[in-house]
Parts: sequence; structure tokens; C-alpha cells
Amino acid sequence: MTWTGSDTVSIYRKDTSDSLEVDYTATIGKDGSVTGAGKVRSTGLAFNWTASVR
Amino acid sequence: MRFSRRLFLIIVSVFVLLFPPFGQHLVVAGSMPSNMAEHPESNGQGFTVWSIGGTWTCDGKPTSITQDGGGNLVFTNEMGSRSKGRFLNTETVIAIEWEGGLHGSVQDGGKTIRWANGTVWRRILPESGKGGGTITIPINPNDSVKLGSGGGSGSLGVRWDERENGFSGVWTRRGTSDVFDAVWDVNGRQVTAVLTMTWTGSDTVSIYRKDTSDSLEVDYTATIGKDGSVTGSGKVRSTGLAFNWTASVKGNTERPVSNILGSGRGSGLLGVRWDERENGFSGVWTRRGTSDVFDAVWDVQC
Repeated sequence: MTWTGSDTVSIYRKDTSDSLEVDYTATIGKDGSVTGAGKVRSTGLAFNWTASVR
Repeated sequence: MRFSRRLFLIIVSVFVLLFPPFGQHLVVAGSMPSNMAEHPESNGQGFTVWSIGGTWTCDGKPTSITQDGGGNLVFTNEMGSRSKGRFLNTETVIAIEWEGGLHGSVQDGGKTIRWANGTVWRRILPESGKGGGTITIPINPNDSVKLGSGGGSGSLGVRWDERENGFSGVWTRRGTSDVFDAVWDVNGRQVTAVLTMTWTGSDTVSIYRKDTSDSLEVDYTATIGKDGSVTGSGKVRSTGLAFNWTASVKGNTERPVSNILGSGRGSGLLGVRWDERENGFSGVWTRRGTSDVFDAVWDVQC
């Protein structure tokens, strides 16, 4: 993860179980909620995602 | 043959000028004001920077900077957008919330800031003539080098004074994160980069350098001594060129292992575990210590 703003990060995912590579962006709320977008490098497939930080 | 040798020497010379971090040491023709310390920490009490708080203009439109005694800056641009910032060295500021970390060169005795995106801010001094000058940012005595055993002991400090290939750099930590902003003064030209550190052992880290002033990418390894001394090696990704380097770590900051969420970068916001969901599948991302690296696992049933 790399900070890109005061509450945003970019995330590079490299799968160790296969060859998938994905770029994520995330906005982290003060309550630990995360919303973001992802894009698969090989196909260009874009999707939204969520998470909660513990 | 003689022509080829001469051509080769010319090419090498041009390469050294274009990529000075990896060439021979050249004397920097700096423009440091005579009343300012060449090295920010050189007086042992703190480091001296321009007093830049006040009203500024950008293309005739008002902008402003607030500056506290601790060296913290808040920039407000002509659109009303604000960014926190700080001095990276005596002549460079960074607005950390703009453009992923926008650098500005403080010139003309603290009366002009030339930003990396091409905009220029000019200082408006009050009619009283007060304002401007310099201030000294104190170094907290508690920030003296008290380095632990690494790997979670807070030994990344707050600032690294680094030296590689004859050039000196200043690496400034973003809060208590593992990300640093780096700046080198290379023959009067500023080379800037963002560094991401990852603990690889009890006293060793790997560092990924991505230049923001050019396209250079470098991988470093480092061993941090308890006295704050750092030795390591580096390798340029594009050329494979390897070199050794050294640094000294200033200040000690406890690195957060916390689930307490703060106000953003450097506040431990990354937590220790992310419960993630994408495309109908759930994943668990587990942080490696207090680094910026996570191990992720998804249970995907086809």
C-alpha cells in the first residue's frame, strides 16, 4: 500500500497462487470503513470493493 | 577508432550529467543564503527555514500559508483547497495532500515558491515590513536517537540523512508511516522521490524508491544499527547498476501497531487486518507488522 492522500491509498496486488495482478484504490473513513475501485491488469476488468479496517 | 573513443567519452559524460546520482561527485553550486545553515540540523538546536506564513498570490489571486513553530505548514491555494505540509529541507516544502505530495522550491529569500506543477506563488509582505526572515524549528530532545532493536521498535526515526554516490539526500518520514519523502540536491537540480520501507528482519529493511522528478526506480536494502547508523546497498531497476550507501537516522518514533483510526496518513490508519469484499467474495488481509505490506487470502468457490 502507498499513501496517495490524507485518507487514500493505492494498493498493488500480486497473487502468489496464480498470476493475477490488480490495482486498487481506497478511501479510508475515520470509522475504518473502506471503499474503493479495482482494476485487473490483464483484462482491464474494473470493479468496486469495500473493506473494514481492524 | 579515436573518433569512437571520443564519442564514447562524450556519451558517458552526458550520462553522468543526466543521471548524476550514479556518476562521480560534482560540487553543488548551491544558492543557500549566507544566514542559513547549509545543513538543517547543523546548529544542533534545530534547523532554520524561511518564515513563509502569511499572504501569497498565485497569478494575482490570493493564497496563504500558515506556519507554526513546530514546522507544520498549511497551504491554501487560489481555489480555497488546503493541504498540510512541511519543509523537507531549508529550501524545499511539500504539500502532502496535493498531487500525491507536491514539492515547492522556496526561493528569493522566502518570497517565491516555485511548485513542481509549474505554478508560482509570490509573497505579499505587509506595509510594516514585518514578516519574512527565518525561524528555527526545534528538534525535540526526546527525538534524540534512541534506536531499538528494529522490527517494531520504532527505529525508523523521523528523518534520514543519506549519502549515495557522492550525493547527499534528506529522507523525511510521513508521520509514523513507512513512507518517506526524499530529496537530493544534484548539481543544483532537485531530485525527489517517494520511498516505501518494509521490515525484512529485526534490524533490516527493504526500500522501494520511485522518483517523482523523473522515472527512476531503485531498490535499497539497509541494516540499521542501534546508534542510528545505516549501511546498505542499492540497485537501479532499469540498468541493474549496484552501489553502496549510508545514512544516519534522526529521531525515534514509535511505530503504531494499532487499531485506532486517526485522521489520515501516518496515524496508524492501516490497522492490522482488513476484512475485504469484492465481486461477491470475502478476503482477509493481514498486515505484516506495521509495514505497508499485507498478506491476503480469499476463499473462492467456483
